Amino acid sequence: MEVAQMKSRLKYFGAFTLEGLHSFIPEKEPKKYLYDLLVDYPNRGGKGFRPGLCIASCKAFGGTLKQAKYSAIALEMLHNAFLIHDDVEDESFSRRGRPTMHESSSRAIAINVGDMLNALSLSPLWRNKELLGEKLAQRIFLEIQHMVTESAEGQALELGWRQDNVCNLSEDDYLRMILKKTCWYTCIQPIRIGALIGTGGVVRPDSFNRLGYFMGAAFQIQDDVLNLIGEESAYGKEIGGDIIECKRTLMLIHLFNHCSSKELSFIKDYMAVSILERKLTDASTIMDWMHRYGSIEHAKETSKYLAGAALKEFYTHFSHLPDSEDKKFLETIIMYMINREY
Amino acid sequence: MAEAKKGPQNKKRSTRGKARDDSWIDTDRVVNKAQKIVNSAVNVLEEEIAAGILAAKKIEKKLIDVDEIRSDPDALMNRIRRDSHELLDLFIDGFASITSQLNSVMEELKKNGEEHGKKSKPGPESRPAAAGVSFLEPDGPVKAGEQVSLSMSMFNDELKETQKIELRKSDLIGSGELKIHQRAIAISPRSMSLKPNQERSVEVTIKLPGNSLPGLYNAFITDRYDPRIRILLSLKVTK
Repeated sequence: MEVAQMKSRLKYFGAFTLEGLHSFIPEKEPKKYLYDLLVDYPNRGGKGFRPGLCIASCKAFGGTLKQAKYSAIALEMLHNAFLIHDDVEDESFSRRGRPTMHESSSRAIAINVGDMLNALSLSPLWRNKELLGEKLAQRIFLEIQHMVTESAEGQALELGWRQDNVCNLSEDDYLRMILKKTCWYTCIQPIRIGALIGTGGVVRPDSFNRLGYFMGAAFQIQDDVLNLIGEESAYGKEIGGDIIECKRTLMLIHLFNHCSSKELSFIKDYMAVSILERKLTDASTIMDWMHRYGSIEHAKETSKYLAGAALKEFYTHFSHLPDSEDKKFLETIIMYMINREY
Repeated sequence: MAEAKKGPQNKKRSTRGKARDDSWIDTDRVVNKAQKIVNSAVNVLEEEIAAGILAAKKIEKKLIDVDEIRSDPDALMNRIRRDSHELLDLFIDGFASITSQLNSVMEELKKNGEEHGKKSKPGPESRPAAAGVSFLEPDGPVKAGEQVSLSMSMFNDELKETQKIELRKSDLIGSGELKIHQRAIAISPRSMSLKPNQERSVEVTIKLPGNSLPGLYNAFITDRYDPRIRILLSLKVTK
């Protein structure tokens, strides 16, 4: 499958999920401060990566698009709730090419909209009972509960590091943080849920943990690299924003461990002040060091190794399935990560 | 005192000697680095999963008030009924899955013809086979810490060839996370050679650890050389 075909399929799954998500939004007041804002982020045209993985895994294992519908909608609602809250917590300025929700409304409104999206995600999960039967619906509910818990724990780790200006971090710390913050909800759980639905609950979901972890980690590292060296128009967020926010990326942790003590002291001082006090020139200096010490190159390499490991896991757990467009779609996503140029 | 600079080492790499080839890739370095990263990731994943299981078990313990349940006979009976249903569901699911897999194996074997002739013959404690599986179970429940011996016989119905047998065992698996390690099961003799039409008795001894938790457990005994030999060892453990 060509990359363009893969992207078009992803877009199709995303549009299908978005349409379903709209149908769960109540048509009532207060619209201006709540209900209209619920679809603000989803309507900005996200990649639909999580619903795409869930639907494709379901279909590859013999299920149908319809069977995965409510789970995909719940995943997308929760993802957008995470993004809204994440933007508030990170004090980000832009999301998908436009001001973040708290910038265009207020922090209080944005937090409340995120809360409502979290609450609304229970509706499609409840509806799963009609679609998949009580037993499978309960299993998916527990998958989602685990996913949300892990994400909040991962977010807590990263926020804590920033609050206490923690710099003595290793790559293992980073891998643990993204496993919890990103990988469970971006890849592991969507694939597990899709496979559970596709097999009617027969499959052993733990067998997809490594595949989802390696994919999610490669995806997150590549996203962080793009934040530094991508095109703002294509990326949709401010370039270098992660350095301004002092996000503990693999590049920053690599730099912590490779720069001189004088440079480390400079970085610590830069990160000790509030986001509004941080100077762009200082951020630019840190970016230069990331280039000089090979931190960006190291991250690119790491993401490719992880994507390679994901491909091996994919072949282990999907090779026995009949060939299908959805199986090919999943393989192409991983191949895209391996061959990605920046 | 001058401070040693920790700048990137690759920029200082000497290019003396043979001319540097830009297309050259240090395969060992790439493989080692990739392996190191993937291994670190796997370790982190395993640790986190283990921590999650432990935390979930602790919550479960906190949520179940044993004294309260014991003091309310109705609640206790309801719980037993519910647990029994879940256990039964689990067993039926597991059994359906095993049977389905065994059926596939049987189909495959039928296609390949009946060139082998080893069979397990049920002993006194065995029940007739279902879907090609022989059942081996004691007459009644076995208490934790106790030992029970069961016997069965292996028979080679092949007319010409001597058959080699090496029996393998699995852990005893109960409901949920319940498990008794396979070292509790002793098979004697574990390996043997059977001449055509020869029969030999095999003793299966289960010595339950003192801390075994009550429940229904199953283990699988198979032959290393013949997948048609499938014995389901089943026993109920009580306190």
